[in-house]
Amino acid sequence: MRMYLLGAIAAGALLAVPAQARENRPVKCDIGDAKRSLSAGGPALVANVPSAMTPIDLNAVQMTDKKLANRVVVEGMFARRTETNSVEVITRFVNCTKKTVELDARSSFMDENQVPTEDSTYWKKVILAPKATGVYRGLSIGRDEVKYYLVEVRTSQP
Amino acid sequence: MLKLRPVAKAAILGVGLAMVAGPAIAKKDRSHQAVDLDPDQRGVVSGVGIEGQDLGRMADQMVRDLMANPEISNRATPPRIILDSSDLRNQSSQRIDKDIITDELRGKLMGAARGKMRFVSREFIAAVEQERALKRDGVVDSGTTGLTRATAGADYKLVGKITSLDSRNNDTGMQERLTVISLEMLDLEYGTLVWNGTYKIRRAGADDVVYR
Amino acid sequence: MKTIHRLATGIAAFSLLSLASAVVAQDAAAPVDPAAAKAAKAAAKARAKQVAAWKAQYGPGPYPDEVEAFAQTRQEELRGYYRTLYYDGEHNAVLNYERLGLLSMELGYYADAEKAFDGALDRIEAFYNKDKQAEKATSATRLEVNKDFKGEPYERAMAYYYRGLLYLRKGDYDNARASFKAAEYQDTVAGDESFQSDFALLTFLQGWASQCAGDGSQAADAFEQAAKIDPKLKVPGPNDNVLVLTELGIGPVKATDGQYQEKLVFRPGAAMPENGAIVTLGSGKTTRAWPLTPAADIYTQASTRGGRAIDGILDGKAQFKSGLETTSALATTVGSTFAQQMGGNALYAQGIGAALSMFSKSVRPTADTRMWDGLPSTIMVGTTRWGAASAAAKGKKAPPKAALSGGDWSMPSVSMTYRQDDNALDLAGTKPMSASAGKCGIVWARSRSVSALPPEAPGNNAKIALARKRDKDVWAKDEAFRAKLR
Repeated sequence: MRMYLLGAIAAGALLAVPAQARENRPVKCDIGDAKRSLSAGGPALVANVPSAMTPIDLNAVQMTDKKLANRVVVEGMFARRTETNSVEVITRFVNCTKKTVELDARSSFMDENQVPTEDSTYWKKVILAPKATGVYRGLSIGRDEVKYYLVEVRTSQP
Repeated sequence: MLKLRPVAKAAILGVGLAMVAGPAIAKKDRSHQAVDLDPDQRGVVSGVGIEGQDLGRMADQMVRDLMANPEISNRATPPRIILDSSDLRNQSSQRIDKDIITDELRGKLMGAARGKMRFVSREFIAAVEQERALKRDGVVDSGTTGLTRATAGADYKLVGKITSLDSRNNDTGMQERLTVISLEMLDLEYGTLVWNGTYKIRRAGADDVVYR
Repeated sequence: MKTIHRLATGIAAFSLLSLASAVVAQDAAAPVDPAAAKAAKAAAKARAKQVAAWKAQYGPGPYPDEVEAFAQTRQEELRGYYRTLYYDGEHNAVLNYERLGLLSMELGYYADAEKAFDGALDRIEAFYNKDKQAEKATSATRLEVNKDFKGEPYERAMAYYYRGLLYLRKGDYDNARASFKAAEYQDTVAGDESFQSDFALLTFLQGWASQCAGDGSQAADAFEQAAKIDPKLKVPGPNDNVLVLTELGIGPVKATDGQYQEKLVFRPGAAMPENGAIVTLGSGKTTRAWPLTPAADIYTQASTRGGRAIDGILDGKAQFKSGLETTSALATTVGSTFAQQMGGNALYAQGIGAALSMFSKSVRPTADTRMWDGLPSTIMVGTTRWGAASAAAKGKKAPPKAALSGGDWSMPSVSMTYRQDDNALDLAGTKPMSASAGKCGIVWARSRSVSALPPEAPGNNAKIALARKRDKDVWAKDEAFRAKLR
């Protein structure tokens, strides 16, 4: 997973003309790579007894079921401040399968002490066409106090 | 009428739930005890229209969106807003008590705004007028916040529409409905719309073959 | 009908019993004497006996004492219907609610009527997926009447129609329009496209609700659409504020046809003399009377729906049954000839024939004919302006604002004259419902009252209804239904 700073995009990443795009080829994923990658070691939610659970990385996407983890890859994760200084998180997913994947995502926002600033958002459905991308957006209610966020994803439920 | 009271829902199909909910209720139990449901999960009775779980989801989305709108939620003087169902039109094919939408939204927005917006009630203005008259007649004293020249005028009002598009496949008995709830914040002085929130529900289902 | 009679006897028995127990209770307050104790014991014994008798008659229940306790909390005129509703449970809930709703509306118990139609429509709107009773209806050896009633599209549409009128009465034009819209949607199930959405009155009423809600463009669209389907439905004046509806005659009747009664057919209801109506508003100088326009024929709506999915299933059952009968007859004759020729065991072959014939008897393709019997055959409609606008109509143009401002006018007195062609009939009809809660007023009347009908809907199969209650899940569902009613 790559993290982008919106500033970088504004600075010219968008303006750069790609030398050669890979056209006429559907996307291919190596889910194993994504699974094997190690945590960057940033802020994380850790159990009271640290060994009791794997840490949940903050400012990241947490998949809540294996079925989904075998189908979808997180391509990018963005966070920015809105005009009112609340936080908007945007996550782009890629469907690695040849079938439509429906997932639910929600975001939680925390202050610098990892205290939730508000209730988590409701689960929002994102429908990914085969081999295509899909975007989830979540907005916080809290403003300056929001320092961390977490996006949770699950297989869509009726 | 849209069923939204979870208790009522639970009462209707307490039994259906007993099966869904699993071990929480013993299988042998033939009673029809009402069960509490999560208001945000799909209930046990469902059709193609707006249902209980949509309300919270819709209100949550709209509140977050409104809180990110600087014109409404980031002013030095908190704006005054009328948020009731008097200008919410139901043009859909579903019978619905519109108050349940605006009440849910107002409740959530009041919690989130924390003083950044003020809400003006016109629904119960009679109560206000009555009390003001009593104060001014000297029947009661002036309370703790003092007297004002008039009641609050509002800057914005929530307006909107509920529309729907129904379709049906007569061969398969499949029914589908797209319901769009579109809410807007109307500037009551200038007449402009400063915010729009749209929530769509597209639901399809088929009744049992014996009912088609 | 039978069940109701039984119920009535049960109730009588119950009241006698409660009387006895009341006497016993009084005695118990006195110092204990052996005679009282004996009486109490006897009463308890009688009660147990009664419960046992009820159990034999009503299966798991509900028993008359429970039904009666529930019915006592309702309006006296509606009690019979409430008893049926309570006793039948989910099986006939939609039908019982619809019939109760119409009666309550006619008698002026509008809160009861609103609740009843909501109860019916909630069930019509919910999908009954993987419903056990619905599955039973498709089983070869079970009757269609096993399914919980939801009605044919014309019945469903009429439930929405009445609910819409009740909304109009209250001035809730948005929900009235939603109801008429949903009613029209029920009409889209017609197999033949030319009959889809041909219920022009419903489109017209959507327009009326829009006009009352102040939504001119939507109203104009709907009126135009309605006139396209039925040119008799003229666009109401922009300032019209009173809608008059009256229902004539007796609606379509469901019947069965085919070798095994597997086909559901509709027949026109019993012919009634009335075929027109004149409404008279107000009295003295401000009287206005005019004949109403025929706007809907319910029999046409019922009979143009085309094939139902269930028809195919019932037809399959019928063919299966007829196939079995043919085979069993063949097995019997061929079997015996063959056996005679071979000098073998004729009895064996005949046995197969008999078994097949028995099995064929257990195949039950008969169609379900439970029906809403209170519906009219024709609905007549008319609109006018009344109040501030009415006076101005004669001379100058009415200022449109005043006409639709509401509040400064009230509904005039209403009377209805039913006619056969040009002759007035001696037919009082029902007392018109007349109300104006918002900008618009509504008048609704019927030439034939439903109060003459029995509280129990026609076409119900008491035997099936009783057998159904023995199913654990069904019983629990019914109990939940009753718990919500109480």
